Amino acid sequence: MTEKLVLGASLEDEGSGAVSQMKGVTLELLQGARNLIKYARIKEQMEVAIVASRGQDDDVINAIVIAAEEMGAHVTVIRARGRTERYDFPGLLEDPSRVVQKALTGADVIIEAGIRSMYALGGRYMDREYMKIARSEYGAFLIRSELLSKETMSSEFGRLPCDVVYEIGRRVVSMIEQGKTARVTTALGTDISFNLNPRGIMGSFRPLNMPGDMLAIPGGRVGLNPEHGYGILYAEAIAASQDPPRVFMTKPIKIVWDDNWAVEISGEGECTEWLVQMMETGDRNSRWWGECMFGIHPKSNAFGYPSAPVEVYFTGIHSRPDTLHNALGHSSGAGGVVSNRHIDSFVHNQTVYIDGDKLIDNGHLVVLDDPGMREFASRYGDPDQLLRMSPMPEGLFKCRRD
Amino acid sequence: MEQELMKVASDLFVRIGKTEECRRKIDDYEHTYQFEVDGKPEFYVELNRGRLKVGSGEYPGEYTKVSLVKTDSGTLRAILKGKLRPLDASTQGKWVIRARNYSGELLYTLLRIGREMVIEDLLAAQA
Repeated sequence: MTEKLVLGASLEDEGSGAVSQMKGVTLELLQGARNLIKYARIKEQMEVAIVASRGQDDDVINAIVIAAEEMGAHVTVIRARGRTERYDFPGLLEDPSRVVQKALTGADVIIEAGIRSMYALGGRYMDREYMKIARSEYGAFLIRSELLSKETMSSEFGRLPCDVVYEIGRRVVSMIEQGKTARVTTALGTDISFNLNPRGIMGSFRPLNMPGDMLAIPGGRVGLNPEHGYGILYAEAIAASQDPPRVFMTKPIKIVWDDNWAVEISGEGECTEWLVQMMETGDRNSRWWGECMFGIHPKSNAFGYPSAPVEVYFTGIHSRPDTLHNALGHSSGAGGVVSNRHIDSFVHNQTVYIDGDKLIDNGHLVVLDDPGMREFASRYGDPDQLLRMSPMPEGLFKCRRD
Repeated sequence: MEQELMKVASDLFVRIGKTEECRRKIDDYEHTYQFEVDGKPEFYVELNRGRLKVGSGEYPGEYTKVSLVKTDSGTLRAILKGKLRPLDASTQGKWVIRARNYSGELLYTLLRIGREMVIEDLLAAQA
């Protein structure tokens, strides 16, 4: 990446503090931040609260501040504890402070820009009372920035106009909406099927809507609520956000679904025992098949691997079209089944069929080859370049079955 | 639904629509909330790029931009009088929104603005 400094970054008239904080804001970084701000629909006079985590790269947060202020927004940065600090102080595991909770009600847009700066362990913070109040009663948009590091924000993933991702999403969802059944297979032996409910489609593949809405940006994921699902899943990784003993396993976990219920969890995967324990300590809906979701963002990748925190580079992995995850427990979107667990287990290089037609072929999203999609992408640049995926870094998905 | 309750609803939404906060929140949107009270389409609240209008009966316009609110007159009265939060009514199953275009949250925001005005009125009356 070229290290071009943004014009005006050396703001001597704003004091030495401003200069030292802004010296690392490159043009590419600012472009990523501008992309975030554009699709967060931030405009003049809006109150924007950026919730960052302590210890996070200042340049990432500064770039968001600059991009939001360019639009005429009034920006406040809140530094909350991040996940790293929670490991050091295991007593501090729950909601953000009351100060943060109250502050959120004054924002038109909340940007969660930190590494789990608003996360409540064991629960989905979107369902917490403080977030309901901020979003519902005060109409705040909740934006989850997935541009957590300089590398991610300045990458093509960070800078690709979200309109391209939304068009991919529109085409993928259109195919799913017309289908009745889905099937997922992998070379490792996964073969699962379920009925489709057109109302049970969720994810981050669409523009932001009305006040109170929430969206991950750049996002690029489509999720389904499986109905009457069955088959055998060989899970290869567990989402880093769940704090498993190991994210990428060397042997898979076998999960047998019967009518959307995990009737068997077994195998030699390093996380098998942990997962069984999570089911036993969860509530009665923990074994529900709550979600089947896959990536659609062609520029998503494990940015920062292996040096960045696993949560930073894992965020990029789960928007890749060659990864798919299934959740045990809480049913996202319109699924309607509530649980205190939502544990995502991943497969990769999957093939996804909708009524027998391939939507994803061995990790390749077929829609990316569609002439209409390529024509749309050409409005933003070379479609060959914009829609081409980078390979998964070596050493991540490494599961083998004996 | 009683005429008196209809008037309370209409007056409150009109007052909400005149606040700066409401105008700012609905500035970019066109959407309508159809209220079905005790099983009948009694009135609707139409948002049109910064302006709020209340109409009686069934909304005559484009249905694709309409969200349906189902409640009963007792619950509606309690909400309009500031005695019950719609979020709590929803949790209790007394208030259901079939929201289109992720519009459900905005209605809660409008009613929160209304509740604050009602509480201010009560405090002023007591003073």
